[in-house]
Amino acid sequence: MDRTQVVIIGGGATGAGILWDLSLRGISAVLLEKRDLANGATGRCHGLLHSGARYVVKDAEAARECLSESRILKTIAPHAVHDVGGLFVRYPQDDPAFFPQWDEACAKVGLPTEKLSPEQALELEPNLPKTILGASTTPDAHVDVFQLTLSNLQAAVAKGGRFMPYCEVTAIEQSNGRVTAVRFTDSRSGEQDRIPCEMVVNAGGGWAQAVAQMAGLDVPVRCDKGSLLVLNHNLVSRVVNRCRKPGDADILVPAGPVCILGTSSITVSGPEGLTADSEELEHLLALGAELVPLMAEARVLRVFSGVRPLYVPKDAGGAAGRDVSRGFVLLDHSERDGLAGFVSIIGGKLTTYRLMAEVTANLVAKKLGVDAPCRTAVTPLRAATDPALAAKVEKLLPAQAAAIAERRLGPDLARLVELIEADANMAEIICECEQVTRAEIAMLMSSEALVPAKTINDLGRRSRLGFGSCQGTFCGYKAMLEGYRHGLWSAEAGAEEFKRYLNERWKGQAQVPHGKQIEQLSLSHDLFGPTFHFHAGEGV
Amino acid sequence: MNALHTDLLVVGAGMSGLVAAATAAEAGARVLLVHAGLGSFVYGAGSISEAPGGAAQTFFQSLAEAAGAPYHEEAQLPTMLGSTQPMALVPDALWGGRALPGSRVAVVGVEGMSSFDSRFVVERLGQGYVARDIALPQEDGVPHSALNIANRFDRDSAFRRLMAERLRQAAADCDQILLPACLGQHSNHSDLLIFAAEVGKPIGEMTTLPPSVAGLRLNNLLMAHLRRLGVEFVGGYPLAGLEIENGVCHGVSVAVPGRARNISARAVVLATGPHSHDLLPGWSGKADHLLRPLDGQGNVMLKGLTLAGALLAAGNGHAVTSGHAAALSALAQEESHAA
Repeated sequence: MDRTQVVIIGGGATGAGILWDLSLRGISAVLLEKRDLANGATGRCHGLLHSGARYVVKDAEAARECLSESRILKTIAPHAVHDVGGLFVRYPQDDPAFFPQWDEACAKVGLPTEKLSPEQALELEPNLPKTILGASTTPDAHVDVFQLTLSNLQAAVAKGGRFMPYCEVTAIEQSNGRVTAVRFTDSRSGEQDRIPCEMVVNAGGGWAQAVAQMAGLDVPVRCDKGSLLVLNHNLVSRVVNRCRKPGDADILVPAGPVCILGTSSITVSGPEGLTADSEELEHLLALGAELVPLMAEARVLRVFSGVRPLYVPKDAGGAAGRDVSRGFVLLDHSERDGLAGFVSIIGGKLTTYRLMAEVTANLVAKKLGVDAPCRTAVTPLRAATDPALAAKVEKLLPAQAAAIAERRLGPDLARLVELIEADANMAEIICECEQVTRAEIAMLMSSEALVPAKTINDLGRRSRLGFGSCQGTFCGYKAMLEGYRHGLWSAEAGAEEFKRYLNERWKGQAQVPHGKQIEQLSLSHDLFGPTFHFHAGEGV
Repeated sequence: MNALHTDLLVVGAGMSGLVAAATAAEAGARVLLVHAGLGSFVYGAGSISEAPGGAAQTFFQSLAEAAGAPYHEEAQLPTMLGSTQPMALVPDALWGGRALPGSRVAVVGVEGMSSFDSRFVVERLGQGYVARDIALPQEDGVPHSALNIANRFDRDSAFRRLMAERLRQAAADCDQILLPACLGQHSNHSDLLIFAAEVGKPIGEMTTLPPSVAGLRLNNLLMAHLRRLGVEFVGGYPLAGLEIENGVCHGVSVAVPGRARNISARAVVLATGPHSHDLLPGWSGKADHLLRPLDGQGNVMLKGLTLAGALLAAGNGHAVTSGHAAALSALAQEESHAA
């Protein structure tokens, strides 16, 4: 492959943010990701855009970073942020000594809050328990992590950056004490290739230790697993936090048509093959019911686990889980290990991904001798939508689908309109839960897309297809056919792809402890199981 | 719905519930069937992978025949994924699409339909199959789906003629036609024969994503036949619970909005599907040879109640066997009570 200045490894929010930052400075860069965007910690979190309120007591600096970064994201990526606000709720079973500490710490950091009486809080969130002692408002928000990562990548690609999903790094070449190239395998085609470069950025998250090892370096990363539950109800309309020292299952985030409860915190050996056992889930649900009692009756759609990649240098002692700093570190391996051209960015939080990208890109630019300042804090990730275009879409689609398409697609609505005007069938809603039209699927699968989808799951990360209560049982098949029609796969490969997709969706639901979603799962099994010989049973 | 009473009360309108109700009605009992929704027919076409065998199968086949939806034995059925599935008993409409040696088959899709692709199916099925598409006018700009085509097929004879004409043209060089199940929600065996004669070729349907037109049609035909047999239906409300006194089930209460209404019966068949264990607290998940529920110690936990269908085990074959047996068992127990 052609030479580039910088190779970034890891397609989470941080890697995507670095690609955008470098592209904006005119530095050529290629991002290699072994799966698809947001496959690691980015895609497996609450999607909470932290105001900093959760960290004020223990780590004022982290709180300040969150406060300023969340404000920036609300201005540069309003399409990805649902600015719902948050409540820190004081529960009678929690330590009352923490409440004034939290109030003071917020004031010190400059975090705007407003104190509410129990009655006022219940008026805002009627599903909170009647026994609460009060609450405070915070500027917390929900961020669509996939949309945020995608927008960074799209913006970067439009400026000449390159995103290469399904490319797994196999070696980092070096000569005379500096990196010279990165070797990788395209896991879909099996082809191997090599990119000569001046610098390599390790943004591997939970995989950062393994990436550093390929350069012969030791970067200690501890993987701290957090499991989360997706509930098919908007139990709350704001982010609800328990006002106490951070612990398990004390955050509930409303995320579009669902809400997400989490998390646990358990040290694990690595970022792959994560599962949550039933004990862990029952524990989370029991705590969740303390947060919002109605949760005991809620329908759990699926369960997922991710790891927080925590940087733990050898001299850090025995700290684990939530006691390890949630701050980030930038390692300049030329200073640390004598390997020039290699840097690692480790730790941090989704909320601070842009700042992490900024400091990384600052160091890279300095090393490359490029004198261009960071502009990501003041450059919108996406151009504003032309109101005339939005009005057109409102005529072509039902109101809810139009509103969602407008938010998701922005200026790309122009293409949506073209497709539907050329063929009315393109207006069909393929994914009912998330209101994804056939036209949007066609756009995402097109080779002209800035960041094209290559699998059905890729479509989900770009459009939320299959994220709702059917979990892809119905829309997944239609999406597979759409991919076939676009030449993404042969019939044989399409059937395999659909089988892979269903299997993964089933895995996420099989961990669900009880209730309606198990019925949905067994329906899905009954429909497709016999065809794929997944299990014995009745035919369709 | 005040003070309803019947001989046999069947709960659930899936395959096992309908078979149980028909069994009891043909035996001369007064039967009432309570159901919340449409049962499993929304999802599947009613094919049976393992033959029930014996008297239950004989009963079921003559029931289906009388309802206008005859079944045939043993066929390899092509699926919408382009695979084939072996089936022991197949509804007539699907049987028309069975693999026949030496037959040239046109797999026909409808232009613009998102949920079916004839080229995809043909590419996987391989030799002997060719892909064709027909154009049908949209109604009010609504995208084509199997269900809306079926509804137009049912009510609009001009639409039916147009469809027959297009199918004839599309399959002119073929011996057999395969298409996604969409030939009406109410067409019986002879309606489908007349349509095939108009097209001039044997036609077979393939199962689709839910809602399954073939399943809904089977459900409609069976229900209509049951009504003719005198079965009464109370539809649309979920069960609130069983009415139990001194270890005997005397009926059920139905969750009508705002109140629970009781329906009493001499015996009850519970055919409420795989996710209804909550109705029977303390139930072990097993039944004795008379299909009465057993508790953890292996004792019959309730009299006057028998179980059928997916509550006990999955599959339409089991639904037929257990539906038939549960009704006979309930009637026999009721007689022994009376004696």
